[in-house]
Amino acid sequence: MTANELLLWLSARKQGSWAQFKGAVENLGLAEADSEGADEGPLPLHQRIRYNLERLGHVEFDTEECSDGWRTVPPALALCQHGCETAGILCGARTRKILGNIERELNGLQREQISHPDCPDIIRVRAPGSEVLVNLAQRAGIRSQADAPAALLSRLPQIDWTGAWKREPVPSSGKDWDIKHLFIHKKVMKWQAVSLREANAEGAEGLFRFTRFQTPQYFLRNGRETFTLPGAIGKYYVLHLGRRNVLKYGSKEKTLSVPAIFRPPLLTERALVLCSGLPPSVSEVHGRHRLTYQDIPEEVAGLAAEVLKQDFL
Amino acid sequence: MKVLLAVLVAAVPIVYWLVRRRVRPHEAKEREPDTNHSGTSLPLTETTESLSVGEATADTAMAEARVQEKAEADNVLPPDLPNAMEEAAAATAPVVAESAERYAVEDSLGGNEAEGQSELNAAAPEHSQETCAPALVNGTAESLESEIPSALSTGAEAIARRASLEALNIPSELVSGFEDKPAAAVQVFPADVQPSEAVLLETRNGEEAVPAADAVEPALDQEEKAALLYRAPRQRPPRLPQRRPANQQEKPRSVSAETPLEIQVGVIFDRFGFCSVGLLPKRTEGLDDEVDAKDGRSVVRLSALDEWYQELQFDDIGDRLRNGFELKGELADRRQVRWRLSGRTIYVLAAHQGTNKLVSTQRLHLDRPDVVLCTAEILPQVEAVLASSGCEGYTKFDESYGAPRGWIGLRGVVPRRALLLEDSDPFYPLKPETDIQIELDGGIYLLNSVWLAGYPPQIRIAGTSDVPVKVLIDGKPAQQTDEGVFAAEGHDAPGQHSVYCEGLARSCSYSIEEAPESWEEWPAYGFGQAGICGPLVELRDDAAKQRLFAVQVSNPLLLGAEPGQVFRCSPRKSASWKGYVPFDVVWALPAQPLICNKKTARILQFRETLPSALNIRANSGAAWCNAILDASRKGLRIANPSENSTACWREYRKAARNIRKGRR
Repeated sequence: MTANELLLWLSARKQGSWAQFKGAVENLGLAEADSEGADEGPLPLHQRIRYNLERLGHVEFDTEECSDGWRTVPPALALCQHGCETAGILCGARTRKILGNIERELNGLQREQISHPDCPDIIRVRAPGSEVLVNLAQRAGIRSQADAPAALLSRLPQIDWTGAWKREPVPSSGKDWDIKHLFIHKKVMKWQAVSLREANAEGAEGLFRFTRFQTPQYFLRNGRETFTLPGAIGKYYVLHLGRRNVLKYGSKEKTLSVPAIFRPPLLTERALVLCSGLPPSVSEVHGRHRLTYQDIPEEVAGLAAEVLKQDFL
Repeated sequence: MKVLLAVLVAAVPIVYWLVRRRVRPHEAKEREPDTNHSGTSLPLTETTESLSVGEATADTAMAEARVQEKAEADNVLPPDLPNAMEEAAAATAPVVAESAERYAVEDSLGGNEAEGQSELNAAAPEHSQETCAPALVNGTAESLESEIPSALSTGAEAIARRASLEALNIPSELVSGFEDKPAAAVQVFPADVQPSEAVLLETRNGEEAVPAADAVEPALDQEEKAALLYRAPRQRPPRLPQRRPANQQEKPRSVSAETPLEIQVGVIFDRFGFCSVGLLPKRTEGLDDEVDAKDGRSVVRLSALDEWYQELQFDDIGDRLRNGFELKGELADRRQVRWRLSGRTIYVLAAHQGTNKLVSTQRLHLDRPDVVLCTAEILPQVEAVLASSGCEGYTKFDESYGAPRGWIGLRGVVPRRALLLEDSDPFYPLKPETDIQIELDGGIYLLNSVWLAGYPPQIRIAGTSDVPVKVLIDGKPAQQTDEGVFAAEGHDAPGQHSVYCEGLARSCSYSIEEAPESWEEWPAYGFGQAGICGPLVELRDDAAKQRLFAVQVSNPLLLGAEPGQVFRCSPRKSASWKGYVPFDVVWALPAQPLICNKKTARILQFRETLPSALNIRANSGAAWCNAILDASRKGLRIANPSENSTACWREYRKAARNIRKGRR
C-alpha cells in the first residue's frame, strides 16, 4: 500500500482505533526516511503519516467522538483565495468515485496532483473565483469551506486563553522520567535536560517536558500555578511572556517561516497548510532548522500571528 | 382453609411413612458398597445430571418435563390435594423402590466384578457409573429422612407443590431438592436436565408430544430396562428456549466453558534482519475493543486490531511458546473469555492478509517462503526434515537477532517436495501439503475477506498438483496472466465471489464492497459556537449568521445598517484584516475618526444599504452614532465616492443625529 491507498482504506473504514491505524500503516511498503523536524526527533513512519493526515484535514485523531482512535473527515474542498485566484484543496475521505466525480466536473479547471513524502497526494484545483469551486464541489457531491484558513484561524482562541489548560502539579517522583526545560536566551532556543528536583524547585518557571515511555507531557510553571497543556501552545505562551517573536513573513514570497522547534499548534498549522495544500518545507538556516509554509496570504499570516500572540520579525 | 391445611399436615407424614417402608429393605444394600461417597445428597444440578443414566432417568426426565410443562402452562396446584397425595403415595412408592433396586444392581456391577457389564459400560463415561449413580442412591435415602420434615415445615404451599410433583411420578429423591427452592428450582431444573423424549419429539418434529414413559415403557421388558441403566449419557441437544417474561433481565452469559480463542504467534523483521516476536490473541465478533486479561501473573490490556488484539510482548516469550499459556478476561457485559496458546516446539509462520507480520499457521506449504521457529534442541532434526523436502538457502537467526531465548529461527524456508506424514508425526508442521492452495493477496483488504471495490485481491495458486489445475471464479473459467494471477470476468465486481479448483476440492471465497458514500461531519474540536472538523468550520446559533470579512487594517471600525452594529477589528501586523463580523458591514472607518489624518484617512463603503428605519430611534446606538458623527465632524471623505455613496452617507449622518436628539 501507499499513503494514497492508506487514505482509501481509512475512508472505507471511516473510523477505528489507534492500534488499527498503526497496523494499517505498518502494511505500507514505504522505506523509513529520516525525520524532517529537528524538534520532533526521529519520528516513526506511522507518526509522520498521522501528523500529515491531521495537518491536511483528512483524518482527525484522538478528538471528540474518536478518543484514542481516528475518524475520517467528510470529503471537502478547502478554498483559499490568492489575489484574484482561488485554490481548492481536496481534504477528507477519498474514494474512486469522488475522485472520478471531481475529474468529470472540472470543466477545464486546472487540477494538480502533487506527491509528497509520508502523505497522500495533494489534489489542488485552481479557479478564477470561489463560486466556481463551490459549484464544482456541489456537482461532485462533496462539501466546501470558503476561506478555510481564515475561517479556522478566526475561530481559534489565542494561545493565552487558559480555559483548556488543566491545573496539575509536575510529577515529583519517578525514575523513568526524561525531563527537559525549554531554554530561551537570546538566539538560543532549545530543550535543556534538568533533574526532577530542579523541575520541582520552588522558583522554577517556564515550560517543562516530562517524557516517559516515549510519551511527552508538558507542564507550564507560571508563578505559583502549574498547568498541563499541549506542548506547542506552551511554547508560544512562553514566547509571549518573554515578548519574543519567531514568526517571519515574506510578503513577496508569501511565505511564513518559524524555527522547527516552534511548530505551530495543530489547528493553526492546519490553516497554514491549507493555504497551499503542502506541508511545510524544512530548511536549515545558520545550523538551525526552519519550517516554511507557502502561499500564505497576508491576512492569513496576520490572523495566525494574532492567534499565536506574535509580531512578525 | 385452616382445616384443610391441618388435614394436609397430618396426612403427609403418613404418606411418607408408607413410602419409607417400601424403600427401607433396599437401603442396607445400597449403602454397603458405597465407600467412596459422602452419603449426602448431591447439589441439585449434579443430581439431575447423574440422572441422565438409566431408565430411572427417562422417568425422571419425563416427570421433570411434565413439571416444567405444568409449571409453565397452568402453574396451579392439583385441585384435590388429599386425593393427589394418596395418588402420589401410591405412584411414588413403586417408582422409588424400582429405582433403588436398579441402583443396587448397578452398584454391584460398578464394583467391576461382573464380566457381562463390559459392553454396557464401554461407552459410558466413568463418572456416570461410579460417581453419580451411587451418590444418587445414598442421596435418596438421606434426603428422604432428613428433608421431609423441613419440607413439611415450609407450610401448605410446599406440601401442595410436593404433592403435585409426586402426582407427576417424580421419584422422591428428586423431590427432596425442591422444598426449599420452589419456583426457582422448578425453573432451572428442566434446563439442566436431559429433556425428555416427549419434549424432544415435540421440538424436532413439531408434533404433539407423547409422554415418554407411556410411549417407551410398554415396549421394554425388564432386561431392556436394566440395560438402559448402563447406557452412555446421550449427547445433549441444544437447550430448549425458555420463555422469559419481557421485564426479566437476561442473566449475563458465561462463555468460560467455550473453546478458548487462539493466541497466534507473530513475527516481523526490520530492514536489518532483526525480528520481533509477539503474541496475537484472536479477536472475534462481539468481543470488546479493550479487554483486561490475566495470565495468572499479570494483567495485560488487549487493544483491538481487526482480526487480533494488539501484539503482546513478554520477556519470557520463549517459555510461553514452549509451554503455552492462557489468558482470561472479562468483557463489559461480564462474559468470561479465554485465549490459549498451546505450547509447541515448532512454529511455522506465514504471510497473512491484513497484517505485515508473519503469523503462525498449521504447516509449511510448497513453494511458499515461510519462517520456522523451533527450539534449539531439535534444530538438527528440523533441518533434516527441511532438507528432505528440498528446502535450501534459508537463513538461521538466534537470540542475537531477536529470536526468543532457547529458540532458533529459520527464515526463507521454501519446501519444494511434499513429504508423507507418519502417525503422530512430531514434525507435522514442517511437512508440506501435497496439493495446491488458493492464495488471495494484494488489493486493499478491509476486513474478514472483504476487499475494497477497485482494489480486488490477486488470486494465485500455490503448490503443485499432478493434474492440470482448472480454476473457476464464480463458476467461470479463469485465465492466468504472466504474473501467475488468475482472473475471470466480473471477479473484481462488488459482491460475493468464490474461487474453486475443479477436481481438487479446493475453494475459497471473498467479497468486494464499494466504499461508503457519506461521512458524517462532527465537531472534532469545539470553540464557543464553532465546531471544527478537518477544514470545515460549523457555526452554531447566532454565530451562524456571521460572515468572513476582509478590510484594510487602516479602517478597523466597522458599521452596519442598524444602529448599534459596531465592530472593532483586532489590531494586526498586516495590511489587511480578515475575520468573522456579526453583521453585514456597510462602512469601515478609521480607528479614531476624530484624531486621524484626514488627508490620508478615508471612509470605505461596502454596501449601499440605507440605515434601518425600524431601530432608528433605538436607545442602543451611541457608539454607532458617535462614529458616524465624529467622521462627519472631521470631514472624512469617502474613498472612490459616487452620487449614491454620498447620498447614502448623508442618510446615515441624518439617522445618527436623530438618534442623538432622541436620546437627549
